[in-house]
Amino acid sequence: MYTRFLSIFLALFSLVACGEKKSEEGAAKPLVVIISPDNPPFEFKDTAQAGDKVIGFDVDVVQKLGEHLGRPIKIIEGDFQSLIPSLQSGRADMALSEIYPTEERRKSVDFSDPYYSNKPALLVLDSSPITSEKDLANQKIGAQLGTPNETMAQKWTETVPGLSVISLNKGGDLVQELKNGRIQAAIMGDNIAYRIAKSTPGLKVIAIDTPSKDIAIAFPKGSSLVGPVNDALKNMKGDIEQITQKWIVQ
Amino acid sequence: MDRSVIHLDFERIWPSVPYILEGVQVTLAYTGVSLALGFICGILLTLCKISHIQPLKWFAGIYTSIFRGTPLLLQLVLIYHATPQLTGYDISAWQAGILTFTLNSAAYLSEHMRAGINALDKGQMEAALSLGIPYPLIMKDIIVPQAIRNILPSLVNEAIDLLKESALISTIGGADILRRANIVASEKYLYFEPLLIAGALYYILVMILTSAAHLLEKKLKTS
Repeated sequence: MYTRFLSIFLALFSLVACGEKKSEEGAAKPLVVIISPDNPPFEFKDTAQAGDKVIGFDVDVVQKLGEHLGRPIKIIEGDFQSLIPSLQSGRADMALSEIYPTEERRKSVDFSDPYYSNKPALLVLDSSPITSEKDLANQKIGAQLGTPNETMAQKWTETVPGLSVISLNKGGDLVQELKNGRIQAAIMGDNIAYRIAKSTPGLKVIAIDTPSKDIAIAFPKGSSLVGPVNDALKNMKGDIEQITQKWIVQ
Repeated sequence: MDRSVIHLDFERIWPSVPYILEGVQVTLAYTGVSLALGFICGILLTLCKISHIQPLKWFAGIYTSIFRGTPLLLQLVLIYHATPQLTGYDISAWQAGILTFTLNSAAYLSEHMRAGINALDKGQMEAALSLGIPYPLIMKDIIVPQAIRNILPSLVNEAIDLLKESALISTIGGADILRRANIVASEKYLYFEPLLIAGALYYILVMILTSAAHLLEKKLKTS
């Protein structure tokens, strides 16, 4: 009986050891990048075809970045909420997931220069009479928590009477609430909005006249990578244009 | 829009079902390993609780009150995020999950086991001691087997709980059934369909577990 327990323990520890001892051959240590793969087209999984592989705009950007820095890239996954804690605990060297460099987040992490800009748009039901943010009086608008889009929607409540903002965790949550009729409009990056409208019948996109919102790469506070990454990003304008064409075309 | 019509679009989900199904083995691995380790730790903890050495009793009491007194999700997130910061050891989601579920279920299991042992006739222990059988052997051959048979239903309950609570691993990125369903949901912008599939999978797993336990219970009763 004891030997059986012992063998279970040993088997487990060897399992653990296997997981840990990923051989680190090759010249350069890989850059560990944490991504939350639930936000197409920026980062997602083609679960029908590519299975467990994380793909998307941000993935291509970071792979190119690795080429420019001469470092291999190792992608690990986490929930969006766990991205910043993972940087702080040193589990990852950088995080990409359409992250907006807000003032609040700058208190916890450092950011690169922006590598892409998202123009906000409204997603509404096909039957909706809404044509601009001015029509949102006495309506509920959904926004993703902690994004500049949420901040902007909050600002609208000062001028649009009766407008209230519902903050949710993910883009997908907004779509569900829209279908359920709990919100009448959702604000998000236009490329994502067009993508959703294309794949989900009954929804349409309303373009609005607002400035674009930058997205950037997040690093642990004081990371020595920020400088080199910014230099690399300056040389990557053409690459990023190509990657944009590949993933974010309407 | 007429909301009276429930529109379920399973056709767009079918190609991704195998991806969600792969989560079954992940969920089972978390549950099985944590349950086995939690069972062992639970026995040790129970021995502390029923021993006559005060510090061991205190330790077991404090341990149980901490792990039963705080949410499992909080324990999981703390172990996963605090371990690298405190010790410098980069604990993986798998290790953090197993560690948390083991420690947590050990606390609950030890309470069940203590109740099971207390329910046994004290005379058995006294008789065995008076026959000169050493304490470890009394425990191993007489007390614990009977106690476990008595508490089998609560052990099964704990296993079912653990199976469902293992879904918490999705919050730190473990690719279990729920996490995979969420990834498919965000890929396709469809919410109900992948979650319904995940729900069905959990239900089937729990049903299998329940009927297996039922058979085991019957067999133990007759023997």
